[in-house]
Amino acid sequence: MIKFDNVSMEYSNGNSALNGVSLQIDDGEFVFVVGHSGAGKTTLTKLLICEERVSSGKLEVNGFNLEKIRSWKIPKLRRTMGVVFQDFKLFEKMTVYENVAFAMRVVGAKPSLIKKRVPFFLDVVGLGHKGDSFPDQLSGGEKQRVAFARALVNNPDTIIADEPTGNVDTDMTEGIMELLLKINKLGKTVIVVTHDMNIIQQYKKRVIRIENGSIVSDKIGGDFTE
Amino acid sequence: MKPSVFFYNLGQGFKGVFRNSVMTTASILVLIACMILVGTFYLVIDTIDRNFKAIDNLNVIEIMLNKDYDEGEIIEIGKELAVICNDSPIIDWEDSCWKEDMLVPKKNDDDAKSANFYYVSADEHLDMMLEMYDDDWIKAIFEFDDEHGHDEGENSGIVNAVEDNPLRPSYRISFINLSDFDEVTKVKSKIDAINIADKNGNAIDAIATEDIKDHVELYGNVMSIKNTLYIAGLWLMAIFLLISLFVIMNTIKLGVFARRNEITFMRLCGATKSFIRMPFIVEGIIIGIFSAAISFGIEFYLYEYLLKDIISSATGTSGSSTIISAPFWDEYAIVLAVAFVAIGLFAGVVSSSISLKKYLKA
Repeated sequence: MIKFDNVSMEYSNGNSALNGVSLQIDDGEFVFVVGHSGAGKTTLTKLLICEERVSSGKLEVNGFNLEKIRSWKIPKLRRTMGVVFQDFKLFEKMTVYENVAFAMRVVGAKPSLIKKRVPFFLDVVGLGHKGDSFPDQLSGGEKQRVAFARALVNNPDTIIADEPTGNVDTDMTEGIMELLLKINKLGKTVIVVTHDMNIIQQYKKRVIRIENGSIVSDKIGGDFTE
Repeated sequence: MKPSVFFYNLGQGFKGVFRNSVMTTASILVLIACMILVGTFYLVIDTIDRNFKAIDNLNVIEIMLNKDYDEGEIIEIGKELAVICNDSPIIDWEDSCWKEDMLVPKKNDDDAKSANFYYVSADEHLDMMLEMYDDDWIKAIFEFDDEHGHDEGENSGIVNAVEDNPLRPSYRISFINLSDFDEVTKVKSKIDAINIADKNGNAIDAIATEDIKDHVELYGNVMSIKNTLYIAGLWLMAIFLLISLFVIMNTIKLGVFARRNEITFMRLCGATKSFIRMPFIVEGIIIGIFSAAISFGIEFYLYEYLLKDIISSATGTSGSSTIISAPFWDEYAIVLAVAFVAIGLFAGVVSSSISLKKYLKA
């Protein structure tokens, strides 16, 4: 569960990024976070993965109290989340298999477990046959799928996808959204940060809209209009 | 640490070493320079120390006695010297071997090296000389011509020396601190002023200034060279160590920069700081240990084939057998190996930790 309780965040240069945000995302929910550039979406995700700390208020993520969290506990928090970046952040010199395995290796997973889980999650995202390919041999949509497999492979509770359809064409967008729904059906909480109004209206899910660091609307359904 | 994690880090560390081969080579060379400098100064200072201790009676004033003095006169001079020794703060009188009631005050063999005031007879001087020099030297020193009617056989020099010992007896006074020049001068002038009564009852100068033999100047020079080397060594070591840290830091920083995306991703995946840091520390350790191994080899050859000769010529013992050098493998190998590995590990771990600091903020 994710719970923001009157959370404010101010950068060291004095810029206020979030002002008194309160919201709750339950386990297994599917949520869109929308807003203009600079509205506070990125800050919100950075707070979730503890890349930034709250200035005031209370923030609880997957059982961790983030305003008091000790630095040695941060890796444990991050292992409960899988992050998918807009630019994929795949390693060009690693194969698809190695890219996904890398996420497991860096948290100290056993080689036997890596051998078991990586092919499974490549199958989940429909890339079981592309394990030996390198990222530059893949389409944008396939790269995005590798990024999802990598986010899923450590079995996190929450998946955070930052503009997952930003770098793919319309045909691929649908495939990626289907994948996100499939992931959500596996019991994972899915948070999608996006500008794409079409997918928001097409998939009738909860939409949290942020403007100037504050939540201006929090609705369920596809009737969201900007 | 799990074996899989250990081998992963080890592999990544080796990859890092070869990633920036030019900078890695530069790091190794600077670190080698630092280690060799430290090792060489250590070897030189230790060799000087050994020779310092070995140069017979360097901190000793030797008072050569007239060959014609009888035992009574020798004891008389001993008493006068005992008073001077007792009064001087740079002589430890408690450690003296000389006793007033002895017929002929002489050194006790067991305490010979540590005693601060003792008598050495002419025969003992000869024994010491025979021990120290080989037959050729003895021949050269003691051989007399036909006119003196001595043997001219193969060992004539030695036989002559034993039969007709030309050496003089002496008193030896060891100083606690020979670098206190004023006090040494005071003692010397007091010794020079010793008078005894001759057979006719007249007071005579017992010891002429030229009979007081000392190494005050040599002692001062050796101490000064040693101190200069010590201070210069420490400074140069500090400077080279800083340069090494700087170069290794930059080598590892290049590796960190090349892998910055990986590091960011690792952090976001939930990798611990120690996991992220480990390959770079391993890289630093590899550089350090590799440098230590090369430095050790170079230092061995330097010592065996260069340093000994340089020290010999610098201390004026070149060509003679009196230079004392310790066997490298018995005396220095472990100390140098441990010191080099310690320097290498220190430089590697510190520089890699500093390089990563920026990228490991939570």
